[in-house]
Amino acid sequence: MPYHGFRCLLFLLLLTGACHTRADHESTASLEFGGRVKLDAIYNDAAVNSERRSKADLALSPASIPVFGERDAAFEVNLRESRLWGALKLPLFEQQLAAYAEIDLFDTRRDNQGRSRLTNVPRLRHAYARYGNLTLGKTYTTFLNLSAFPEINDANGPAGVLIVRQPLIRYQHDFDWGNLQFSVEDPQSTLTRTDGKRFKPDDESAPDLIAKVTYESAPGNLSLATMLRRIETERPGSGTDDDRWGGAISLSGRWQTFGRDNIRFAVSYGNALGRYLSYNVFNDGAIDAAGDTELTGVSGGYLAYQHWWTAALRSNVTAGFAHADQPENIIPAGTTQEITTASVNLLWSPMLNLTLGVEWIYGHRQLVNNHDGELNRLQFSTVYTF
Amino acid sequence: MRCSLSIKIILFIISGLLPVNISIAGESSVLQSSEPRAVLRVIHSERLRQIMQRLDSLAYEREHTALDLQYQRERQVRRLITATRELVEKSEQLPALVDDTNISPEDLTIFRAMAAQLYQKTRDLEQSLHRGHKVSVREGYQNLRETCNACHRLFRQDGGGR
Repeated sequence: MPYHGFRCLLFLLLLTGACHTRADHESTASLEFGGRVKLDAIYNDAAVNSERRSKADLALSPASIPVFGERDAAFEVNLRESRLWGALKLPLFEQQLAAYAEIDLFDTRRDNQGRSRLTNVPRLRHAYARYGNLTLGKTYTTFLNLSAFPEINDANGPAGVLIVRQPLIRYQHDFDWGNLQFSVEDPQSTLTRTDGKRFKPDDESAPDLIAKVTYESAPGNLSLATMLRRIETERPGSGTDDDRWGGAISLSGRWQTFGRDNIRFAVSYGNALGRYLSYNVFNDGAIDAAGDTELTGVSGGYLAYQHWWTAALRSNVTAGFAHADQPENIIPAGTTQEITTASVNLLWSPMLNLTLGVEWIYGHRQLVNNHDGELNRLQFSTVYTF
Repeated sequence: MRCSLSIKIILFIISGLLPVNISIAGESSVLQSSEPRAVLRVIHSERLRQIMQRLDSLAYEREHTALDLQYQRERQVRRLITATRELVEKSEQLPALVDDTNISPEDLTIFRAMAAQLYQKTRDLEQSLHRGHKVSVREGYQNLRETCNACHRLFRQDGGGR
């Protein structure tokens, strides 16, 4: 399988070089390829576990910050956040049909203890088409305001971030003042069992419903998103269904302050937010011994400030948190209850398509029983886009 | 009370040393220097500056897909068109709004021509974006920047910049 992945990547690289950008017919079709090479050198003062090349050692996953046991430092160099994309644009009935696909090298496999381990198999990040006001396929959830995402080296982002890619059908209507978006998205519930293990039922019968309004003006934008989800499971033994409706709300934005400096933020709350927040650090709910589901109230957010020292040199300071009101009568005391992160970086772009930078990240995890652990990470990254 | 009077006197003295800021409308303003040279005058659009900065920042976005970036650029360029059109209209109203003793007719003609050129370059960039030509988008953006900078060099005290 890894061999197949390499062949696939090699083919795409050759295609990128060969096609170098397009079949050029202005009013007909166009085919474009591009991507980026990202080299990360990462030092963790507390590796997530003894398994080498765990994904959590490369992209900060606060749920994996070690709380007990020895703290083993680890150093990793990898290219797994490199990406390749292709875009096809076709005129169709006086509008444009655009199709887009993107891969990276962050595919994971899980071992028998549920820990994710990296492979070299390409992973599909996006595969979607857009026609007029409609978007269909796998891409970023509508619940997210991507322009509010901070510029950081870490692949995962701060605690409290909403960044999920999943299959969806989205309708967008643009106005002078911004836009409205409505979408139906792939429902996938994650629940905590009484033994603390994650359980992913396959009983969803209703899509996740999301609506978002975005106000845009010259200095920035503000988004308000709401989500409605139906979390369904089948009770073991009896075979009867248990379903709960839950919701979430998120306010996010980005605003210019002085010169090119800007502030970016997101704050979210809900009892069906679990899977969407901080890479599923908390589950959507917990199942008790009788098989009944209790949804988990989750809140989170981050604040980031970008300051430009010169035309090519800038820093980003970011702080984030996420907290879950875990049902202590159901879940084990070793379950994660709160995470916080902070980071600061210095990034330099000597050319428009080349960025070098160093970043310090701090992560903290607290369990329901108040035990906690922390992690310091130093990450040097080089990103070359083409 | 005495303290307040002193502050007023200090502010009055400082204000005499600074260029006068005359607002035309909304987010645009005319800066008129006490210096006799016309190059120290400028119509300044805060909105134009913010849109250009947002366009600049799109080059550094890491997580957007290429299609998203194209959409964002098109949105910002449409805003830029509106802002430059307003700039052209305001340059037409300039003599009526400002005491023109410090503005030579030649400078006014040059400024109007440059504002019109900026508007045209913005429309050109919109066309390039619509066609999706990577190279012509880059060239269109470069042309737009050069037009901005040429005007800044002539009419801004700091000689331009970003």
